[in-house]
Formats: sequence, structure tokens, C-alpha cells
Amino acid sequence: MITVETETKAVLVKQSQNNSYQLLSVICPVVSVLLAFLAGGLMLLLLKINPLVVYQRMIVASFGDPYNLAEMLVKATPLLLTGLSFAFAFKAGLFNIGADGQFYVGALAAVIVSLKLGFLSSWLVLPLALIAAVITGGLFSGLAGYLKARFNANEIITTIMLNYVAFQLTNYFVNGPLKEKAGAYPQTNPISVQAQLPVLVTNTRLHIGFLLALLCAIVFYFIISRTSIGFQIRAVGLNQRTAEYAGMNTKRVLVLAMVFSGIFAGIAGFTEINGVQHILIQGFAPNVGTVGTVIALLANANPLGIVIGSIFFGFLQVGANIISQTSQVPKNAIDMIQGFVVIFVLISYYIQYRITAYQKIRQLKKGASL
Amino acid sequence: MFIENLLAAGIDLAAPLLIAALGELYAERTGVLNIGIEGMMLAGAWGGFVTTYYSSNPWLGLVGAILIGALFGLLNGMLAITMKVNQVVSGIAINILLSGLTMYLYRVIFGIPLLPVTVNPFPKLSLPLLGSLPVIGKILFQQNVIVYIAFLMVPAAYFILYKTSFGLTIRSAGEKPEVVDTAGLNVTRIRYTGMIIGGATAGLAGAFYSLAHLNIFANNIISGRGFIAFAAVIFGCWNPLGILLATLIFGIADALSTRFLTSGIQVVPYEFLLMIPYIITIFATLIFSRKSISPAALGTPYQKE
Repeated sequence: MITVETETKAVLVKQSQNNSYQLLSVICPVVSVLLAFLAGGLMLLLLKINPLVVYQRMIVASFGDPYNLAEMLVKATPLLLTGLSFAFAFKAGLFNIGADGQFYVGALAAVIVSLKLGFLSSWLVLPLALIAAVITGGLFSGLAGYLKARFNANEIITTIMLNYVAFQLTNYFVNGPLKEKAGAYPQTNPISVQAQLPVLVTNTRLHIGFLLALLCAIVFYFIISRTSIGFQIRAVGLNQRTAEYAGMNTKRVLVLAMVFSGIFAGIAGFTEINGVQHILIQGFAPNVGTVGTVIALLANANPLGIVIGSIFFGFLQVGANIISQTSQVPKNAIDMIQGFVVIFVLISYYIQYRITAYQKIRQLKKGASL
Repeated sequence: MFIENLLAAGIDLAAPLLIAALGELYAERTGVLNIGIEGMMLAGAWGGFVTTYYSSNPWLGLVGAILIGALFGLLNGMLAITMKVNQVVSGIAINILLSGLTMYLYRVIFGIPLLPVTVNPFPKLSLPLLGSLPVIGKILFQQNVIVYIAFLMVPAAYFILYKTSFGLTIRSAGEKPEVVDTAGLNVTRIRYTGMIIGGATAGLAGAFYSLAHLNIFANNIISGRGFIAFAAVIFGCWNPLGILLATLIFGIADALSTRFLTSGIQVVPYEFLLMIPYIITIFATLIFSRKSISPAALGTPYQKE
């Protein structure tokens, strides 16, 4: 156990100490994003739209107005949490593609508690809604983790299938037991004022959920780098068999990693319902989980990187909203650009790997000639 | 009558899953996972639809779907084989790219139509003699042409994989790539063919939805069917006959849930019926995951010594 522990630590320390590696890991995502915008710009030309004008308007409108600035953080909040969700399971070598579903069941639990106990004071109803979202999100992904540990069921398949189950479950509630009193649309009644998260900056929608998301990023870092279970998660992620020989209960680690992962996504459901929407509408906030996945991959599952990445994607979404309202650019152009971002990031990892390999060879040659 | 219609519809719905899963089988037998299958099916549905719209010929639509699927199979190959990106990550990336790209390009071509744009789909093709057989004819031989293609692919896949030297090479690349390398064959090239065949068939399977099943294109036209096909390879224990059985079960389950939906009998809320294919997939994963044995080198990049 001890030798494996020190060896794994040595590898991790070595990685973080390598300066040129660190520099590259900052440059690569930035260049990838720029290339993605270039590719997206070429696609905009198909619609005979000047991409430079669009990008300029996006930046000016987003950064020039305090409301829009705050809105970036509003949009970043659920993305930050779903990004953490994907990253946490990723640390254990698992692929939780189910953040969308865990987000939905979290939102559903939060809205049910908020509607049924909305008469209570904020000090009671908000923590209760949060706990409900944490439990449902954690259990929902924990189920996939349990099936993985017990039956070796591929977690990619189970989490994706559970997404569709969660969507239909939400559809059932907003069309059935929780349908609004007016009965016109597939949505719930609005939640009471006590059940709404306090706003941080007046005249904006920025709510305290953003701070909660930041806190989650710190908790993520703390669990992964400073606790024994975090160490075990990383060890299982690096090599499950070695971790097993070292005496770790890998099955327990896999289930726990999935539970934590789902908790982050569940919290995103809570912040979105109680902080922004104040109502659950069928098909709301689509792709929150997918974009979180993009961000986590972009940041290489690093929590600080996920914070920065989610604010950047928050900016993209706000910008996309503004330009789709004021010009011919369709809103889904931004989904396409997000797709380009991921592909270019993956290519940049390869280039990064080649550069470091090249440098190492050069160093070795230098050593040989001395 | 009910059973007859149900089985006919089940076979119809099994066909695209079967095509996609057999393609995935090739890829996985060479040792690479194609998680991008979902996105490639979407791309195929889009490509088939657009080609048919412009040429008013669904056959050309099929060609378009296959080509666009193969193209993204090639891209996945570049990421996963040449650049050695984690194969799951590269597949997810392709799915994300294609879900954005297809909708954007649909918008570029068709704008925002008031009614969904439609194309002339493949008609049902009743085979001579066989189609007029009682019961069996209705179930098996009054289907659209893609369904026949799908079922012909099963013996073809069996023959190629087990009776030809190409098939032996494919299977060896997935079991012991170093042996293939020692024999002087190019593992990288074999795995690329696996990815490209997987992409092409996923494209063809996607075209089924836009050209035979529905005659429109929408962003939720595949909604997880690619992943179900991916799962069917596992339940089918990586062999064509097993995959045939697995996809038939999914197809019939799917048909059953739509039948309940349209029957008007409200036993359970219809949202729960729509969950059926996904829940069955989860259960099938549980039952078969321990038994079935995957190709030994599946998911591991090959590094020449």
C-alpha cells in the first residue's frame, strides 16, 4: 500500500512540477478556442454573415453591460457544477455521461420540496430543497456506479439510458401531478418567494447559487487532493488493478465516485430551479450536462480550469442569446462552436504530447553529448 | 392481427439498430470503440435527408448518408488511432460536434420553416411471392428496402468475419495486435477500416430514420438509438447472430411501446412507456455484462515496439 502510494504521489508531483508542461496546458486550450472560433466563423460565412462583426458585438454587448456580465455567471453556475460532475467520475477513470439526467432529477426533487414546503421560511425550505437535490442526484448516478461495481455494467451506457429515463420522468411530473394550476403549459406552478435563492447583485439574476458552485469547486479540490478517499479515487483512475493489489476496495471507490459525481449535477438542478427559473418547465436548460462535459474535457478535469471554462462558456451563451435576438445568427451556432472547441482541444493534447516528447528527447541527447 | 403488426413493426425498428450494431462490431473487433456512433447516425440522418431533398432520389440519399458517416468515422480514427486520444473521449467529442453541426447546417439550408421540410421516403417493398405469404409475408417481406439490407448484412458479416482472411485479420487486431504486426500487417490501417466501416454503417442506419421511418430531419431523431446499438454489441456477445437477436428484442420492445401509445388504452402514463427501450437496455447490460467476453485489446491503443 505504502509503496504504491508514494509512487503514485511521485508521478502526480512530477506532472505538476514540470513548468513547460504547465505553460503548454494553458496555451493549448486558448489556441483551441481561437481555432474553434475561426472554424465557426467560416461556417457563419455560409449564412453570409460577417463573423468578425458578430464576435465583436458578442464581446461588446456581454462585457459592456453589468446585467449581461452578471448573466454570464448565472449561466456559468450550472455548467460549473456539471463540469465538476463529469470531472469527479473521470478522476476515477469513469465516464459519467449522465449529468443531464442527474441535473433533471435534482431539479425535480428541488421543485417538489419547494412547492410542497414553500410556506416554510427560507432558512428551512432552501436547505431542504438542496438536500433533496443532493440525495436524488447522488442516488441516480450511484445506481449506475453500483451496477458498474456489482455487474460490471458499462457506465457509459447506463448513465446515457438513465438520462432518457430522467427526461421522461420530468415530463410525466410536469404533465401530470405537478402540472400548473392554469393547466395550459407543461410546467409547474412558480415556487414561493421563500424558496427562491437570494440575489447577490440587485437588478440582475445573479444569485447565491454561484457562490455555492464555487464552494463545490473548492470541495472537489479538497476531496480529490487532500483526503484518503480522493487519493483512492485517483489511484483507481490511474490503474484499477494496482489499486486493488494495494488493498483498496475498488468497488466501493467506484460507487462513491459516481455518487459524488451525481451530487454535483443534482446541486446544479437545485441552483437552476431555486436560483434562476423558479419553476420547472418541460425541456428546460437542455445540454447543461453536455456542455459541462465539454468544459471538464477542456480543463482536463482540473477544478480551477473548470471554473474558468464555465465562466467562458457562460459568456458564449449570453453572447449567443444577444446575437440571436439582434441578428440572423441562429442560436445553435454556439453549439457547433462548442463542438469545434472539443475537437481542437483533443488535437491540441496530442500536439502538446508530441512537443513534450520532443523536448525530452532533446534533453536526453544533450545529456548524452556531455 | 395485433401480433402480426407488432412483429412487422418490431422488425422495421430493429433494422437501423442492426445495421449500426454490425458496423460497431467491425470496429470493436479491430480493437477500437466507436462511441461516436450516435453522432454519426445523426449525421447520416442529416446527410441522407439533404441529399434526397436535392436529388429527389432516396438511393442517392443512402449514398450521401454512408459517405458522411464514413467521413466522421475517419475523423474518429484520426483522433483515437493516430492521436491516441481516449476512445471514449473522442467519441463523446464527435457526438457533441455533430449534434451542433447538423442542426446548424439544417438551419443554413432550410431556414426556419413553418412546417417541417419533408422528402419522399422509401416505399414499403413487397417482395414477389414471399410478400403474399400468409402471416410471414406481412411480418418479413413487406418492409422497406433498408430493412432487407439490414438482414442481409447479418450473414454477410458472419461470412466476412469468420470465413475470410480479412475477417481473421480484423479479429486478430482486436485480440492480439502485436501478432498482426509481426505477421507484417498494418494494425493502424486495419483499425482505420474498422472505424470507417463503423461510421459508414452508422450513417446508413441514421438514414433509415429520415428516409424510411419518418421523412423529416429533427435534432432528436436518433435520441439514444446509437447508444442502444452500441449496447446491442455487448449483449450480442460480439457476434453477428447474437447482435441480430439483441436488436430484434429492442425493436419489438420499441414497437410495443409505440403500440401502447397509439392504442389509447391508458394503463400507465405514456412517459413511462417511452422509457421502456432505455430501461430494457439497462437490464440487458446487467444480464450480459458478466458473461460476454470482449475482444482482448478493445479500447487499448496499439503502440509499435
